[in-house]
Amino acid sequence: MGSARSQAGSIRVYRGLLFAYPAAFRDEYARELCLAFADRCRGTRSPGALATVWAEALLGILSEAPKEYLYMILHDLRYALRVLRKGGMASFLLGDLLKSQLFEITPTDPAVSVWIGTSVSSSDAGFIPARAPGHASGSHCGSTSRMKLKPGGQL
Amino acid sequence: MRPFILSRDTFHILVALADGERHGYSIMQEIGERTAGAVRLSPSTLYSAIKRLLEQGYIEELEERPDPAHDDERRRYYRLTKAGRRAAMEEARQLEKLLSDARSTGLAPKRV
Repeated sequence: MGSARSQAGSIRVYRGLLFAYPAAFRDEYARELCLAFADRCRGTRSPGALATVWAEALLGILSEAPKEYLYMILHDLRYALRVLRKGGMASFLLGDLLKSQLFEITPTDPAVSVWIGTSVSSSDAGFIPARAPGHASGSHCGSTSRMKLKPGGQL
Repeated sequence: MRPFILSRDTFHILVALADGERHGYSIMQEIGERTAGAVRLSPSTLYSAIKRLLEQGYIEELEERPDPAHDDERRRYYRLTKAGRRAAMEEARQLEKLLSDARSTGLAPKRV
């Protein structure tokens, strides 16, 4: 239908609407989407038909763009879980969590993380110290070298 | 009965690709003609489904366009893989079974 100018305008607007999609999807399929939409517009013979094409296009974007975000998030979560499972990071992160809960010290202290990670994954990890040395004064545990480890994970 | 593994739109796309490679708009046209306009995929629906089908290995993108001389070089062509054909056949079998059940209970007209 209509002039080439109105079709070009429709395609420009449609291309703008594709920003509702995640960037990765847009990079991969924006050109194809625009081509298919342009073909659809070219095939219309009346303003009513063009309105129908527009309605379908809008509905399509509104229903599919959120799904693409969801797929992207699920994909990232699956990847993160796979990495965690592979590297035994679950134990490491749990150790970090326990450490920050129990010791209330800086969560980036690697020595303590590694130690708690080890004690959580070991079979006799029953001992949990009530307070870390130096915690009673209200100060952060300055150095983990002050914590003496005994065999079996005890302080 | 095993639940259907393909959505309606996905199955339509696989059926459209069953007799040869096509580009996106051609798939949309084929589905429209085959269903007499009852199913009209929007470009968004089509390419979301295509993305998923590519990830699942049910379709693949052609390295070369079938007719480069008479075609827009920006278009991508897709074709069914063996896995895609198997999945479509399995889906058709399931639908056939469902229809046969519907016939036996009087929900669908019996074959003449």
